Amino acid sequence: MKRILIVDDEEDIRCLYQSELEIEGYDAFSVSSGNEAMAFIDQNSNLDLVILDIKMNEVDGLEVLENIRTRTNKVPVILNSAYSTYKNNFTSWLADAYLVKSSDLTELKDKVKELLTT
Amino acid sequence: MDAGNSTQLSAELSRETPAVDRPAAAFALDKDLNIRDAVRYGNLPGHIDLDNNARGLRQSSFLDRPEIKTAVQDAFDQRSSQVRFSVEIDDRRYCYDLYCFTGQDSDNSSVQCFLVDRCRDEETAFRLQNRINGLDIINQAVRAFAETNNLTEILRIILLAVTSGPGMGFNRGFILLLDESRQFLHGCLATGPSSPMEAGEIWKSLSSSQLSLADVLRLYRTGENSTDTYVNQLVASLKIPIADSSNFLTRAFEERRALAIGTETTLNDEEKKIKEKLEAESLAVAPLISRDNWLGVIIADNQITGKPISSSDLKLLEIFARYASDAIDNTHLYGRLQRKIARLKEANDKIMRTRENLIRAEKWSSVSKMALEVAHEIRNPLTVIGGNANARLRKIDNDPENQRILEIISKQATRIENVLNRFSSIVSLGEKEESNFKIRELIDETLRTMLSDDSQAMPELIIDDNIREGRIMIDQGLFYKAMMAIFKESASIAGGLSGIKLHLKKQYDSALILIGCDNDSENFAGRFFNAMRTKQGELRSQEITVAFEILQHYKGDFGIGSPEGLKGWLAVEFPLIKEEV
Repeated sequence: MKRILIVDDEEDIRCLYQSELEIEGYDAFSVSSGNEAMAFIDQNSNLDLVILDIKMNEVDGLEVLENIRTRTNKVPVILNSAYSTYKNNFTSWLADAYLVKSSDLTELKDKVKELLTT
Repeated sequence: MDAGNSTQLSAELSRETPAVDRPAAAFALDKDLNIRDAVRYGNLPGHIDLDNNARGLRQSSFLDRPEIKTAVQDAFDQRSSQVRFSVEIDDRRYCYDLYCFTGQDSDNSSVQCFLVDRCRDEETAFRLQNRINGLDIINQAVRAFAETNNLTEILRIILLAVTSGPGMGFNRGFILLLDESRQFLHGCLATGPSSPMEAGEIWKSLSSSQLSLADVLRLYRTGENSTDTYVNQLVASLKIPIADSSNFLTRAFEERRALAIGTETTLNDEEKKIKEKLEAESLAVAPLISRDNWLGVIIADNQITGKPISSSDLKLLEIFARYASDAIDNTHLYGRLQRKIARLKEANDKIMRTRENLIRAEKWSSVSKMALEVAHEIRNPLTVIGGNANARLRKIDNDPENQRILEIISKQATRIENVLNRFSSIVSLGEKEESNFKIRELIDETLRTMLSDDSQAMPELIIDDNIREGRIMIDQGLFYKAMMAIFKESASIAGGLSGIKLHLKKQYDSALILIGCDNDSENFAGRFFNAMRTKQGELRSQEITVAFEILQHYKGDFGIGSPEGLKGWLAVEFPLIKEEV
């Protein structure tokens, strides 16, 4: 089963994503901050994908992304933000995808599926 | 009148002296105008022919004058009379008063006459009139000076006052002024005829027109020097160094007075050369000095008529030169004041432009920040609400009422998301005022807006010739917003705005703004991208993100690009408006 880490400081978002991804058949985990995310990644080398919010307290998503990229390029990362403007940010180009948060999770699920099958 | 009578008369006259003017002579006249008993008390200048013996007195021409005859006749008719007459000899005027009284003879055969010398009075009046004329010349010229701040016009007024008939009446006038370096006296302007023939024509024409000095100044001060080409050529050839120089021009300044220079043999070579260049025999030099600064000299001469330069001419020229100096100095002050006003106006315009630019940029900044924050704060709960509604919708069957409610929630969530998407681009917010601008001017304005004061150095900006007129279509405020964000980030890398280097060039149909710096130039773009990373709890890259959006909205781009021979610079691209054929 593919292992997916959800990083978001909004608990309701984490719950929603986790529940929906589990329904899709993934093994989903969630953490609420950048620091927790990096700790989780350190302890779980067998992660298959990370869904990363950008604006979070202390360490934000873009720093987590850079941290991940300094360790590996193998784990796909989806930046998932309420800010559409970050699409243009150079640093976000390090991610495999940039999706703006939406109540319709179809696009997110499709992208997860796409990245995990390639 | 016998000797006793004469003595008595003298005694009477002496007594009268305090009350009346002392007569130069006393005599009696009979009805045939024969002089008798003449007594002379002083000189009788002007060839008045009197002697005590009354011989040949009949020839005294003044007795033939009708006004004299009338006065004498009045005395015979028992009416005392007085008449003034003058005699002109060799251009000199001698003036007398003749007092006639009824005689003491019982037969009324003679009248008594006293001749009072008025030559001194007349001379005083003449000198007074001269002074009044001089003051009038100065007054007219000062009034004309007050009407202009143009230096050439002031110089022309000076020369007109010096040379015109109703003015000082010199034949020729020259003005030499000190140059800006205060090293040389330069010949500036001259007026006067080149020959006696030309002088005759000009003066004839002027005298027939009967112009006053005020008329002359008004009519000719703005005229051309076409008729005075020759003297202007003479004066233009003068460039006299004043340092280590000893000539009558420098001497006039040192002594602070006008000098008359004649044909004296004591003139040094330098002085002779100046005279030769002006083709002058004798001349007057008056220094132009204002507030103890030497401005130049006025030179005047009577080369055409050869009339000697009198001391009163010289004095008047000296006094006039003081007023002329103030007028010249005023034009300099006015010029400086004008330049200062222009600089202040420019500075004020700049402040106003900067203020407007900052307001526009700040407006966009505020709007964009607000839009992003609102979008973020709404989108998260919306995702939760709509997402959960959608999830629950898939799980419930046979509950049409709840199904309908969840569908409504999902539909409305999508609707709000669509609205947010429209707000996601800040350039879609607010009313844009797009117009075409020269891109080099926009860059210049942006940089000047960013400088906190004039003392800060501008970044080095190289502009290729083929882009100097290049224009882009954009909202000025959005341009400032975008470029200020990029320059600000660049400045933080380059150690200040002045550390940035800019090169504006044309590439195909686009304008490229290349940005780099001196230190670690090759890695400038890399450092720029690193600097853009989001910092803790702060959207540091938001400004740059907005800049990208603005660029994209105007079909521009952002990336790496360098001037020839360099690498690692940042490149910002804007499409140029295609030139109309």
